[in-house]
Amino acid sequence: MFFRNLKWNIIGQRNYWFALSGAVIIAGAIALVAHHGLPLGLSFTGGSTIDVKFSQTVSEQGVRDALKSIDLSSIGEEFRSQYAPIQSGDESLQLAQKQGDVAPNDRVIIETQSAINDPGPVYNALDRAGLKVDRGQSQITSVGPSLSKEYLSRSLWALVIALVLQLLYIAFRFGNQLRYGIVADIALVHDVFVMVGIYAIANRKADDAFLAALLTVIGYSVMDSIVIFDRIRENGRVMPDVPYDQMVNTSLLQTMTRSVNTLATVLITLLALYFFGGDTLKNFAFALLVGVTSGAYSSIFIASPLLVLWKNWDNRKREIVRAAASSRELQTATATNTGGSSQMKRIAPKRKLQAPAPPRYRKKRTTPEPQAEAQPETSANPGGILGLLAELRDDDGGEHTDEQLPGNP
Amino acid sequence: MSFWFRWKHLIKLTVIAILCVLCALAFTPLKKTIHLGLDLQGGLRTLVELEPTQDVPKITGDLLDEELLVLQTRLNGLGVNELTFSKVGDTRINIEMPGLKDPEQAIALIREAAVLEMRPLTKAQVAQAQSDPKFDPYKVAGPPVITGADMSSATAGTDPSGQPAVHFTLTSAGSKKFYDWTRSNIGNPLPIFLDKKLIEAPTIEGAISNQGEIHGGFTTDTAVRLANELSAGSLKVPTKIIEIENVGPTLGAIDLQKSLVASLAGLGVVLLFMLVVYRVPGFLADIALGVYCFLMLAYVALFQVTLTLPGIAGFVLSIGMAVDANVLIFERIKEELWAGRTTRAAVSVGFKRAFWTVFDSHVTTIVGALVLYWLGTGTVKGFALTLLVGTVFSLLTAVNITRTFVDGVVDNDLATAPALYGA
Repeated sequence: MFFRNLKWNIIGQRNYWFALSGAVIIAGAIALVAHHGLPLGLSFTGGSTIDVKFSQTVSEQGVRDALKSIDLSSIGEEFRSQYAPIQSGDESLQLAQKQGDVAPNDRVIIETQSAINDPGPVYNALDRAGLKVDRGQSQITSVGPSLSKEYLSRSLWALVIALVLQLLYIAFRFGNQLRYGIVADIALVHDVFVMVGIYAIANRKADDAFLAALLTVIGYSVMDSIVIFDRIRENGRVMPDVPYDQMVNTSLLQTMTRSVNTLATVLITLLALYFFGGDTLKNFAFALLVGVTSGAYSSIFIASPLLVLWKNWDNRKREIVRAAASSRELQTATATNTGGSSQMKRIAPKRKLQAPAPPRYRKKRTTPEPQAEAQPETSANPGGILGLLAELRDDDGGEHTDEQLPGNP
Repeated sequence: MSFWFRWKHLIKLTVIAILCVLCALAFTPLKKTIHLGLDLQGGLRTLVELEPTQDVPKITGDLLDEELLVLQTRLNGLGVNELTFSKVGDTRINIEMPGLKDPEQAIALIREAAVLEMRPLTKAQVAQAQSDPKFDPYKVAGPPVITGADMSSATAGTDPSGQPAVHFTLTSAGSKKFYDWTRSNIGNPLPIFLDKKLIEAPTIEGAISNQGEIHGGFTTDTAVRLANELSAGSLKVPTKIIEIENVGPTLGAIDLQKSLVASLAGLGVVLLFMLVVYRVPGFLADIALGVYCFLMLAYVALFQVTLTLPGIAGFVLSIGMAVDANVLIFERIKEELWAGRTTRAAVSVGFKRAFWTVFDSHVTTIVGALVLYWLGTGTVKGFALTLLVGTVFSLLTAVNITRTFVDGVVDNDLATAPALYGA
């Protein structure tokens, strides 16, 4: 009950919302430029990450020295294997801490650009230097250079294909109303920009988990826009006399509880993953937290005001056309009305759409309740989801004007 | 007709209860039925690419099968319970070895072609090879007398002085060739090359027919490995490890525990949220969510899905999705109640009106998950798959099963006050 009774003029404040999104996206763009593009994770750059846990406290320098003393290519010689030397100057080394590590500074993450495909020699060399490696708590991930290029291109394709498919779904959902489709698309692209931007600002590495989050968020954003737009379309039919921006605002407030609650449940699970999950899950949860929040935000505060703007712009254009047409009619009082009338023709059906006849629902509303009650019983077949689908399809195809929308004055 | 109307709720509830029991039977005991991925129990995953050589310019499907078999035979000796091999594309093999204790051994087994050759060298060449590291004796050696292909079996053992060695037995064709050659070369070296490297060159003391021994300065491990490799056959083309993921077992156990805590914490708070915000239907949705978890666990157990960290993330996220559908429906019911409908009518209309929105949300998620499953990298596929299956299940439980529960309560007038619906 809380949101719908609020006198919150979301549409009226649209410039603030646009500015907020603009600021985040611009900040992200600056961060992107500053970092020379989005930092990519191991699966897209290739190389190795070796997460070494020692049974004692170590210093970064100590580990570095120990690694310097080894030439992996010679170690490989022992059993006829070829190893890339680890000391090529492009590896980074950093002390790390994991939940469950008791001793301080006993874990080091070594990142190399060359793909080391056998952790053994590295562990052995560190052991030999007196830094005992706890292999049970260490891990290595390594991706070859050609494979990482392939992963990157496949991921970009995945992103493009997912975007196209979602656009197709939007087009299918709002087939006859281009406006909704395009605005939903803008919201979608907004979310992708925000995710990439925030990642750049946080200087996090975009890895395959980021891609997974991106695709999930795209779906979430589309869904969120559809929910709100459905309500706007419905209200457009139910309250034709209310000005468009007010109607949109009412729709937003009506769906706000839903938006907040669904966002809350998803955020709860994500926060749990972020705070209790391991490193892998943490990274993934972060991307989703940003994306899902942005997705919910953009549907309400970006997409819906854009709808209003579009409509206003449309109306203004129509008025200009109408004014032009009428002035032309005035000027040339005689038979040059071919152009004018064709324009009028184009306008006419649209205006009709805007004015559905309200009496229908009134009539239905006065029908006694039992009729409504009878519905579930006739539909109570054991056919499971298919039965339900068929039944709902039926309902969807019918008139929506019988629906009384609560909360309207 | 009337029988159905009278008993339908009981019948539906019984069906759901039976379903749950069946699911529970499928996934108990958990430890045995749920296969943990190597990121949760430690182990090794590698992606191996076969590289064409001059002799074998193209990797054919037959060759891929053959090489897979060789790798399988080699790695089976490692004592890993759930070795899985899968072909990826036309030239790659993905190998997963959860619970593997010794990754180094496995990696060596994978990457070694294990081409054993005996090629003649002169005494001077052997001496030069031993003193000059830059000299490559393989280039000057004569054509092979016998190769690993001529061996019928190989075992690891020790030589008379107790040093690790590999004993081999030759096939009949091989022994004939070997006998003829050794007989005419007594006093000369017998150079043995493994993967084009000279590993030893003993002096021939007499004619050898069908059995022999290679010393080559082995350790027990390397001797076992070579014997294993020789028995399994050599690889026709070299293998290249292009991706590797090795997780220590303790680390995997820590991650498993953490992700379980995270999932349960998320699940718990969501259950509580639904109960507090939507009361009676919220409670019923919680039960439906329980059914959902049972279904997912049964799916994981029955289809032997390997549960990985990303898979758990997909599972947790699909819990959010399942609840999302219920939030949509219950919000709609509240609105219908405010509009002055009776509880019964509000529930019926609420479920109907919200259905297409719920359907939309599932379709858009499924689209993303499908693309991800199709094009995603190895680890992400697990996430995509559980999200996909979870989304389908959640459409079932969040709509149909919750509806069954809510109808049962409403039709029997168990909860009629709007306040019980959060309105």
